Amino acid sequence: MDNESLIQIKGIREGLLINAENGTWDDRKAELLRMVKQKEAFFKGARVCLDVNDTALRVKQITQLCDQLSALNVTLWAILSTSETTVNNARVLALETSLPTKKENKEKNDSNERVENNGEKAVLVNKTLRAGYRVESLDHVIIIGDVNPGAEIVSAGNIIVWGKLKGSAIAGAEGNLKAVICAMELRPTQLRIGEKVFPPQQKKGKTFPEVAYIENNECKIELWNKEKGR
Amino acid sequence: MAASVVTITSGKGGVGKTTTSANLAVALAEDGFKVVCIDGDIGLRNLDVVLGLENRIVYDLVDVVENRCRIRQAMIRDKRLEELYLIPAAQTRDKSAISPSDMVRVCDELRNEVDYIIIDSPAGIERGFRNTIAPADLILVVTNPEVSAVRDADRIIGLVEAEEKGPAKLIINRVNPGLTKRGDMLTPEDVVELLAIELIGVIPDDENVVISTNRGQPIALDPKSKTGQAFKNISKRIQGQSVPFMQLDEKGDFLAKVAGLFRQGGD
Repeated sequence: MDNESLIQIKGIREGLLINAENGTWDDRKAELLRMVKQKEAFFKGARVCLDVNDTALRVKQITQLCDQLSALNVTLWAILSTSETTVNNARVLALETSLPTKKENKEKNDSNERVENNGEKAVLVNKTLRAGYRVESLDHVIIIGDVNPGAEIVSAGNIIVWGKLKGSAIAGAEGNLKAVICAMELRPTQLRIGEKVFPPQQKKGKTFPEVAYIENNECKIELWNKEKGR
Repeated sequence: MAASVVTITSGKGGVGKTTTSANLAVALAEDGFKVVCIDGDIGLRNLDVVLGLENRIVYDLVDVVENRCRIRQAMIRDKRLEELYLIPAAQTRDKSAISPSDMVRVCDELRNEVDYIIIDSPAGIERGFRNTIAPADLILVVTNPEVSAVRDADRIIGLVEAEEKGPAKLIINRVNPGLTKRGDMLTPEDVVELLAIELIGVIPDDENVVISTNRGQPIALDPKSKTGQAFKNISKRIQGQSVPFMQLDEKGDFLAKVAGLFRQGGD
């Protein structure tokens, strides 16, 4: 029964939060699977979020756990960790890495002016996103690197790409039409802000840093221009 | 010296993984190395056909993994080259018949006996792909200068990085100098710019490849073929030699430019 302390389960708004912060990964995994099997009826169809503290998990370890849990009818939808490796690997597998922030916060943000978004949280990805990668966040998303065709970014806030944006980007995904998408080179597969889908554009030759936004319910793309005060 | 395991993969099907595997194996064996090719495409084997060893298969990779034979018994020796062997895939099973750890075990068993192990990966990103990259020391991603193939290569490179097997190196196959010159095909520079990994070879589009593949005589065996030479150059680069990129087009010099491009990026 020693192992009991390896795993704590809490109910949260989004489902179950499982804390597995101590012990070796194999022990924790075995204990978690044992618990799920034991209380099968309770866990059936559950969506769980796993907090692993500072454990660095590899893609293989995460996929293994995902597979084993889904065999028991449990969906792993998020992994919380302070380890950068784990967070990055979880993102690669399209798992959430943070719990949604509370509604009230978000509404407060929405009423803010775009210009005054000082001090808000953002997800920083310091590498090129290749095809098949997806970054999803309720915070702003900043990419240092390119976003290749076939990669996707979904953010409830703004999206900033310090590189070429050639994949898909959805800003203001929760309906914030004040969100903007900007990139050093804007040649996206698709752009969306809130529900608005930007018409496809054909660009040849050299491009300059641009920003996409919604004004009077219309999709606009403009050269980055500091005089605009943005 | 322990062997190095080279996995040839692509994501998209039909870009030339098997042809590349066969020719690299031949080129390495011609340089005097002891080479084993492993066909990782279980259920859809065809490396044996390309190497012309189809009619000599008795045991296959699944037999080795399931202990029905010793690894030596499954190694078919090529008649043309002393030190070239093939371990064929099973035709009647599927990818789930072996696991990544099986592949690692098989390769570890071979490591002390040979110089190079070339693994031909199946198309796709599922089990078969995971099996073939598990033992790899070097991963070569083959692509064509086509948007769809490049997209899949990008995905594969990302997966290789995620498995901590990177950095992969790039082979661009079926480059048609005429088409690229007219701007109707992606140039090798375009491909390298998007994928942002080191280029290890450019293979021209050549109908003789189809002919040689059908005959089971890899084109690298033909001393006069330019395409065969391109494969031999890759084999030299795998050995760690620095070989200049071939000029595909007499007048153009774009390959030199590509080489320059990746040197810039590689520093």
